Amino acid sequence: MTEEDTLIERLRKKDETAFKDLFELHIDHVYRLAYGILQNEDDAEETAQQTFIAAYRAIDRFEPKAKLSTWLYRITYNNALNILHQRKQNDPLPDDESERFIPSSLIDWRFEPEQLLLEEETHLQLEKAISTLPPAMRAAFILRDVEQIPIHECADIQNISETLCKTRTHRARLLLRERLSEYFSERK
Amino acid sequence: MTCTELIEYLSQYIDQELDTELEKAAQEHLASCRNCSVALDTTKKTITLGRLALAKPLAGAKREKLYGRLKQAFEDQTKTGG
Repeated sequence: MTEEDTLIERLRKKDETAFKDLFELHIDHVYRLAYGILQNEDDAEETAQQTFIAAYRAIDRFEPKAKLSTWLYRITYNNALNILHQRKQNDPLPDDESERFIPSSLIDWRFEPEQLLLEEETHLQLEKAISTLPPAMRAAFILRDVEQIPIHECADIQNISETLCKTRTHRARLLLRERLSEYFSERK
Repeated sequence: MTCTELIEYLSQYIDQELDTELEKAAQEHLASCRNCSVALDTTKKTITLGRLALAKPLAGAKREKLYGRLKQAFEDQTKTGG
């Protein structure tokens, strides 16, 4: 029995400490995805709260073959989209698979990411660049490149095909690169 | 391979998902195209930057605040049977 199996078992038995353990193990991932999609701390907290309560309540329906993390990401993703829908901010991405994106800013960056991150301004520029992406592209980037989840799981979490998931991730990367290049290429 | 095709395959190239023939064509194109090399390099840097900047644990105070809020909401709903 894995540690995850033991945790699920404890959650099913309504072990009081199991809920805290579930939170500690998964809050970083849940919050990052929620904030990534919603770009708002209050909404991300609300989504995280809804996600853990929903997961705790539905734990008896959790399929043992699935991964707990994938299941939690999926609940988080759906909760975040519901909040966007309530706010009427859900971009349906009508052009998901059309239009080729051609990079225009083609000057190399002067510094490596590790060096850039030492400056507060880099974090601000990154946040700003991410906030300009449509929510579904933000979700794809967070899941694939920040959380480093395999493509089939990313697609499963978002309930989309692997092809569409790859397209969203690709476009998110190119758009972010373009926006960040506008800033980093100007640096002297 | 043209520049347009290279850009289309860029993520698959980075993720090492191209078949051998396409990967070879991409490598040949990159060896002779400065613009596409820059696009590749800066896209890789974008991914690294995103991961390093965002994949951080929540700060302790925020974590505690969130857990406190969650516990309270959970207890309230349990009491009301919601």
